[in-house]
Amino acid sequence: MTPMDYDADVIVVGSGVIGSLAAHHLAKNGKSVIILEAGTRVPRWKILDSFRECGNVSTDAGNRNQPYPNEPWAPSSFVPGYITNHGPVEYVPGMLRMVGGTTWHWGGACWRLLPNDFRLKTLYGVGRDWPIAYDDLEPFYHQAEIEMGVSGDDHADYSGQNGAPFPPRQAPFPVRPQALGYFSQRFRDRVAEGGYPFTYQPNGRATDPYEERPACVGNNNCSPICPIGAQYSGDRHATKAERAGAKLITDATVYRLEKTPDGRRIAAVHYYTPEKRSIRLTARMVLVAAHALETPRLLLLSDVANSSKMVGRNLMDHNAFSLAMIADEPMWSGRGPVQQGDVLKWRDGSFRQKHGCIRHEVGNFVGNVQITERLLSQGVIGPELDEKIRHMAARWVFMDSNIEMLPEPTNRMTLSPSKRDFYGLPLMDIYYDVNDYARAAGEVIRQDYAQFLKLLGGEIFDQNLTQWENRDHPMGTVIMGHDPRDSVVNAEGRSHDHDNLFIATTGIMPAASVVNPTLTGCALSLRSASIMLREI
Amino acid sequence: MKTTRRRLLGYGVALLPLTGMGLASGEGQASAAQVRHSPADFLRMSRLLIGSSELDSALASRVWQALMAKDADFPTHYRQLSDALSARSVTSWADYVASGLREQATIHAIAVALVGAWYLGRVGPMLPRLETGTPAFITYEGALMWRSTRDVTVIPSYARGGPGFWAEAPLSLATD
Repeated sequence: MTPMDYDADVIVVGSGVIGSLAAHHLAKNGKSVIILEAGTRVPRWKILDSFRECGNVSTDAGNRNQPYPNEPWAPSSFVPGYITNHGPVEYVPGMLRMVGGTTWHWGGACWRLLPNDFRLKTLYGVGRDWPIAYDDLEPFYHQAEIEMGVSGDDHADYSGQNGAPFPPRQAPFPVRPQALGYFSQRFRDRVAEGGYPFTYQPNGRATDPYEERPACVGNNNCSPICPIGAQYSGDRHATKAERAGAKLITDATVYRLEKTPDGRRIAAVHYYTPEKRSIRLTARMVLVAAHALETPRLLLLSDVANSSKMVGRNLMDHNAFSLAMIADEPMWSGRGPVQQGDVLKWRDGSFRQKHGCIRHEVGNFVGNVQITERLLSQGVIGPELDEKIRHMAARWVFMDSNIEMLPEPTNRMTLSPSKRDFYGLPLMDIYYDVNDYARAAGEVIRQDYAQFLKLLGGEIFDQNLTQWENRDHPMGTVIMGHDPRDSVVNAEGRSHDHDNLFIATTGIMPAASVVNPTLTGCALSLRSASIMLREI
Repeated sequence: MKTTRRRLLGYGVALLPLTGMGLASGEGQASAAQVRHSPADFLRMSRLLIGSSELDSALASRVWQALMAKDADFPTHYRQLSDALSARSVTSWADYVASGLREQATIHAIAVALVGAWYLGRVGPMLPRLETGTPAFITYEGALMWRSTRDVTVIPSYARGGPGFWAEAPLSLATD
């Protein structure tokens, strides 16, 4: 086959932030790129209108997928039957299929992992080590932070010990921190009395105008939709990739990766149009960046990259608990963005031999929806209703916690034997449980919540210490490792089985840590793109 | 976008808020006229039960339609409430409190459903994992739940102040 025989140098499957960053980098450096996106493209203003008119979602409750497109050929994840659970813990993450992917409705957290997160087995005797070290990924964290305009605190110790700035970074954050709200200041000061450190959360919101994004003015609706686009979303780089020359094809559901006769390479990518027409495209290299669940689904559908039998296994999230309280002083949650900081007391340490690390994310939501519903359920109406809404909203504190999980082959996504999608292809079954390592951390959270209630003089509004809420942080399903016998991709993000197949999703992460995985997925994708660039 | 207000309103009566509050479903079926037009005293009743005259009269028919969309028997329930208030000559919130109707679970539940629609801007609970059977939508920014905090926080998705305004303590702190 001559070079002219390919449709593109690289086909990228998925136009979310992880795929689009790689596509942009490759196109910018002169490579021909085709991006295939199963969903459609919708401008921000339409999503905003839809949010304000759907009645089934608020900034802190309801169905976050609802304001978004939900095409029969690209359903969002809450469509009944899309995922069928068989395990003891339900697992259905919020997920969008459209240009830009699920970062349309995220909280914007952009964390780096810590160096120790890459050496879990060596240091603590649990889980797996990464096949790469923090230093290997640092340049790509840096690159991703610049591309996405990440705001962070250069003085913060993100290991949560109130120490020197950590982890090491080659340059300051590209965007200065946003002002800490009065609520965050009061929360920080009150919990500090109990020895709990509060750190500014690194995030993708523009403190000052950044590229084409305006500065955040605190619309307090980061999810399900930032109304002004101050918060980064993956459509930014889908568009930038197009401007750099990439061809983006929407409503293109990739359903098969075709192997060469010897099985060692991917010969072609097949996709369906909504008219159920099948189209075959070829490329020198293929990057599958189709989310941590849809990616293994595509690999299983194609019988690709699975000599280890690990595709779909080792599913991890940060399942944990949550607490809403009415504090003893007016702090006024809800001024500014919806989250500003975290309590990282249990971010890292020798306790990880026994239980997962813990991150308490502190919300900064306008609490009126939940408060009003509660008061109405108590029969409160009349003038008293306004008075009580104000009293409680002024004192509203919401936090949800995250727990580190370990990769376990039994936690897995498989193809459904009975349920089919629009094209007649098998949908997903999931078996999911939370193991003792994470459950032991749940006990620590129980104690912390008691402390937070005490420190803030809080009265419980809602406290969940029994249901394992997932955080929509799927990882592990196409796991990275040195050994082709127990991992799907190598240290480069390349399939052990097929030389020209790279996989970029949070699904390749072999250890979950306890922070939102998006930035790590982005850094891994840019690292793989840099390797592909050298080889094309 | 595929989800329009028209479609949402058409989802029928899968969720009956009044049923959850101990009311038996009545037998009345809403006529077409009842669906379109709120009763003549609906706005007055709403003002009375909310204890405020500051209601957007233009929303009254939408509130009524949403209540009907989730409970076809709402006109019957509404008449029960209206009759009970008339029988006790209730013309103000203070009268309502004094009448003892607040302690009558069946009647008070109807009042709460009516007031709840104005406050939440929808009828029916939000469903985190579903896109069918979802609430009957009335208004987002016009929901009364925002009004008592509007001097301090935002109606989420709207703005107040510029970047970083939130660093300052709210002006009302001393009286909150």
